[in-house]
Amino acid sequence: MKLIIVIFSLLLGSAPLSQASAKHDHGQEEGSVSTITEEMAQRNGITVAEAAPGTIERHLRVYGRLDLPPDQRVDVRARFTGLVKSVAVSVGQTVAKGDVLATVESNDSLKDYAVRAPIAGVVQARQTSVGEITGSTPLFTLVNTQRLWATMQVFSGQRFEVKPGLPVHVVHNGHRHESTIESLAPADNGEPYVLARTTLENSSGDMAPGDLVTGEIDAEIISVALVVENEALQTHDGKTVVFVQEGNRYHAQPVKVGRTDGRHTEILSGLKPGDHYVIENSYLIKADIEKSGAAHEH
Amino acid sequence: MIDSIVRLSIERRYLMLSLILVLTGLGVWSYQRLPIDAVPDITNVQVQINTEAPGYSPLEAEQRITFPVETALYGLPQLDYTRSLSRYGLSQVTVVFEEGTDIYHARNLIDERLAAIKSGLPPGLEPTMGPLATGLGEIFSYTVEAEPGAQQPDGSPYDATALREIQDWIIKPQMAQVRGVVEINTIGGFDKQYHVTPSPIKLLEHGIALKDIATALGANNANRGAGYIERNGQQILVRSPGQLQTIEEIENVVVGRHGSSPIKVKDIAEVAIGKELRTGAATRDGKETVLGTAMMLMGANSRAVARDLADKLENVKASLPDGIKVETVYDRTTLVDKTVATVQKNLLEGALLVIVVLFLLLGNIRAALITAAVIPLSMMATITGMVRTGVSANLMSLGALDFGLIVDGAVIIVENCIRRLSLSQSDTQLALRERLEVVFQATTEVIRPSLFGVAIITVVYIPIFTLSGVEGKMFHPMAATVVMALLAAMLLSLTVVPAAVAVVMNKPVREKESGIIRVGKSLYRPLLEKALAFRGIVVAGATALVVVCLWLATTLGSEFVPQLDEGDIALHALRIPGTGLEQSIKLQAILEKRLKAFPEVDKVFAKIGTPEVATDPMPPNVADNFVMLKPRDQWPDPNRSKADLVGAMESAVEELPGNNYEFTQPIQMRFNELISGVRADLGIKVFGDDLDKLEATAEEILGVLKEVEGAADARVEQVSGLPMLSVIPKRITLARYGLTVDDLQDLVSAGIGGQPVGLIYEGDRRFTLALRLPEDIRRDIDSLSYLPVPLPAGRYVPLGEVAELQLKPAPAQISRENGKRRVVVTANVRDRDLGGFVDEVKQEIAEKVDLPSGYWLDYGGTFEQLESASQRLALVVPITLAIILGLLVMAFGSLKDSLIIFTGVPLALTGGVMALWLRDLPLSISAGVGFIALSGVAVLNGLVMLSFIRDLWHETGDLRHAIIEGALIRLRPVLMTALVASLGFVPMALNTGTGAEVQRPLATVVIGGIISSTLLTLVVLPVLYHWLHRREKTR
Repeated sequence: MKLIIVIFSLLLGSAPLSQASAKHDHGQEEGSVSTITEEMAQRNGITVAEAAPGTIERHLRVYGRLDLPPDQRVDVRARFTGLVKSVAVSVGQTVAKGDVLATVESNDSLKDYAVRAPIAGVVQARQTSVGEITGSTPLFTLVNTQRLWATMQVFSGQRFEVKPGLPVHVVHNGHRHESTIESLAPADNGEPYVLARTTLENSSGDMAPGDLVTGEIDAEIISVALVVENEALQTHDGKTVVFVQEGNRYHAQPVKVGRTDGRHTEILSGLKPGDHYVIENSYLIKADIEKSGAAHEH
Repeated sequence: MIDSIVRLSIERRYLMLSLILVLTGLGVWSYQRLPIDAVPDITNVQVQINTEAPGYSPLEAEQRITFPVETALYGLPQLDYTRSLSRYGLSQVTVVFEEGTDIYHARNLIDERLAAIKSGLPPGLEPTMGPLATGLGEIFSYTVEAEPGAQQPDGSPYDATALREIQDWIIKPQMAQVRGVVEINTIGGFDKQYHVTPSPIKLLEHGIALKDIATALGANNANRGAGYIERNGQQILVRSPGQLQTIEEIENVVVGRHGSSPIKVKDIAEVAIGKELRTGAATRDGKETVLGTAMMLMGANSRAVARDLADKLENVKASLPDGIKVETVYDRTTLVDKTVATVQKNLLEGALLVIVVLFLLLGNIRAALITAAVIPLSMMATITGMVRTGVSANLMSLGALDFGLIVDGAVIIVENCIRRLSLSQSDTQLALRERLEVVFQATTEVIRPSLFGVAIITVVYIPIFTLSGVEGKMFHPMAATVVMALLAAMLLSLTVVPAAVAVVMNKPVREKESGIIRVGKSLYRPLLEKALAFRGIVVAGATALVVVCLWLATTLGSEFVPQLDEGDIALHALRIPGTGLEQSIKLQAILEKRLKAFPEVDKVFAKIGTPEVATDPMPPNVADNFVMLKPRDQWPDPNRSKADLVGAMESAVEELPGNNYEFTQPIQMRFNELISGVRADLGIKVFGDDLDKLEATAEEILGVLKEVEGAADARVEQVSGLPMLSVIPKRITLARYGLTVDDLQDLVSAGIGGQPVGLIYEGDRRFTLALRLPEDIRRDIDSLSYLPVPLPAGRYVPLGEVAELQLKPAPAQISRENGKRRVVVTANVRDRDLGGFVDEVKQEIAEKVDLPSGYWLDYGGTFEQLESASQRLALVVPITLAIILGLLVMAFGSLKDSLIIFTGVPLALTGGVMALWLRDLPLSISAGVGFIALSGVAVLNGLVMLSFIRDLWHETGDLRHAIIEGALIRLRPVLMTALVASLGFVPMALNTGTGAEVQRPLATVVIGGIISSTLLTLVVLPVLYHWLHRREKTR
């Protein structure tokens, strides 16, 4: 504009006039309040809930493997060296406690004696055949997978929160098995974790030793006076806020948060029970409040 | 010399007339080659260097890519400056060259430099130069959509990925072939990818690392040629095909073993067609779509290219699968056609009006036709000149052409010829020789003033050539065209016009003084006599008028550069930084439905984020919306003004939560994106290294700036605000587990960002095969710390154990200029003069702000351009005036007379100002050009008038008589030139078509000015002349 005035005024022979140009004004909106009509809120999928007491369930996730408890695996040996006269079971066969597995003729007494199953279980391995002379090697290996140990590795960051007796949900292949931590024992070989053990019933037989499991340990389950959904929390002006609805007005309410379990968060201060706070699409309200700062710098 | 040219033209008149044919031929030939567009191209000479860096955060992109690229460009010849931005996944360096640099040469140099640094960049990253296009380049857009119920061959409905595949592999290859298209840029949909998503648990279980899968997939996916074998005289080629082709084949790739049993991909991972991590999306009428935009090659003819593209798109339709529809959503042809129609209408109507006026005033149809013939002929010459000088035809370049002005010279000559011919051959036919002599005499009698007049009008355009920057680019073509047309007309009036008069006016000419002139003269004589009697009052009145109009001018609104109404609306929808793409799409859907609800709106479409080729790199929180309006006759109220509509839209969308808007227009938007730079009055750039310090300093400056009187809209460019999750390795712990930082980063980047491990070919089509974690695990940042990091022998350690996870805001974008980080503080100035404001700000900042060492400031903004422009004009305008005065003195040999003529200028300007005021138009550069043209006409008028009066005075020696008689004789040519010049502009002033708003101020000024100038030339000039010369004796 100044240009024109200069051309113009110079053509006229008068002195240049100085005048600043008028510019587009970006309306600056102050405060942390957004007004959204009910219809608009509905169309944008803004949902509101009442702040209320609730529980916080904090879980720790650990991984481990299934093991056979030591008492569930037996290497069956012949008590006296001798000749194997007959073998009653083959690999994979289920045996009951006391079932005869083989008959051995003792070298000393030259009498036959029965080798019986010390536990109920499955014949995992058979290392003998009729006509062999038994030695110190086991004849059979019996395992019982009715009960399995889940041995989970608890790393140092989680160690202080894990104690025997805590409930743990062991997830195997998508199935959850409820259990409690029975013991904590340091790992061998100086590994930097402790092993948390729990016993699982495996009557259906769908678990096998060596399978990988995930453990969800309930580190904390507590009732707290006020919880909000995690979705509701946003940051605004460097503070954690929830957006509180009052009619068509939504304002950013700074809150002090306590514990959280990934779904709910405890509110220590800033919010009262009964306050209506935005859950879904709370981002939209943050966006609306902060939008005056949204600019497109090329 | 002039005499001899005129004589030659008359002697060799048939030769001269045959030149018309040559000129016509040349004009028609040139017209075929004339680039036509709606507006002049205001883009500077720039090259964009884009480097796509998938997964890179702004900080990494800056450090690894932007910096080396910028450094490589140091010392390029004719380099003006560089600026860059580093965003998620993208580094863009824009290299701006000085005006006039050959872009091909510049690109060559850049290419050379880039080749040298390629080895220094992270592997796999390739800096590429943006398409060779300008701001006018985006001429054609189309969307690809599926009709409801349409199904893919496998029975599933078409999704965004499938549509994108159709665009990429069917439509784009065909459209890209159109001549003049440099690039088809796609945005929207998902680039089809094959995803292998291993479950971390299963990986642990089988003791397989992500790396192993990547290696296995890489080693099992190639075809190999193996030469040939000759057998029994026959040549047999050998090859071993091993490329993976189907999902099933990918699933069966062996990644490891348990004893003798192979572990296949399917044992540990899912394989499916997945979605890329895209950076941009497109929506139309509230739904996601795939949008293709054709970029026109720099310098191509947009109308032709857009038309060819539309034709091609019709052809493409035949090759599409059933149920897929492509639709043009933006076609530049529409705008160009409308603009061209406006210009054509203006020019044609103007030309017709001029012919009618000539006929009415000359009373001789032949003479009128000869004069009018100058119009198309000079137009032909102008077009030829435009093609030669590379000026494109558009609203601006053709906008100031006034045929009335062009024929002025010819009018004067023809008028005088007729007068003289009718005097000398009222009844009897003259012999050829005599007739030619009369024509020669008549021509030479007025040729000098008319040539001087044209020369003066040409000279007044000089200041326009000194405009620089955007204004220069807009108005140079206009000035160039007008000057070319005037010069062409000048040449024609020297040659063809006298020749034609000599040939055509062979019948006895009886000067039928037309009624208008008779009435005019009968009114004029008493008026002039009265004026001479009360000369004091006349002069005082004129002076008062000038003063009043000066004051009036300062009250007019102002507008820097006029805006062409493109007929469509574009708006930026801005959300807060950090807003995700999917969230933006949701907001966009609501916004578009709201806009579509307007009955005037035909289509709404939008680009969100960055397209495939980052010609306009926007973050995902910004969307460029294009609102295509229906033709006006389909509006409920066809007379509704666009400003009103935009206002209604603005308030309608203002209700939607979470969006901020900037309304603009498609081409304008593109120009803004390309030219960039600081658009506020004052921009203070803070340069330095540390972003936090930069921001703190900028805030401090903002504080000082706000206190300075006159500051408005002060703000700091937003730097931070992008939430970022940092996975910070714990070095000691890592070492404890035998891991390196690299191992950890590989896992995080491959797992979350994805790792390309090969290509899957389907014929020509090729798709990325990528490895990444399942979507539910990627998204769940709360449990990210539990992600198992595999260790040898099937052991693992959770991620949280070996790395710290931090979620905090980080820079959303890093801007650099001339190789240094910068943050800009901008402000506009209200109610205060800019220069004083800037000085005060500089002083205040120097006093109050303590800059950390290594940080410095740079003051820029439009104030700079304004300052340099005013300085330049302050020099050029007086020089121009001096030149005009010089020309006048040359013509008259008298400074006094020249000054008298010069008074015509302010007198003419009064009318221009009044006309603007009456029509409520602001002062603008357009209007300024009008004033410039006006000064020329005013001088021309005065020149014609005074030269005649003076000659008469010298002949008769009676000043008063000479003035009255001379003025009366010159009444007709003065009226004629005035009438043709102003009537030629009347259609332009009244037109409301597309593009008229640019020409309207100009035309209004000229019409108003010519009316006042004519009246005052007829009255005030003779009075002044009489007053100043009354004591002199005739020489």
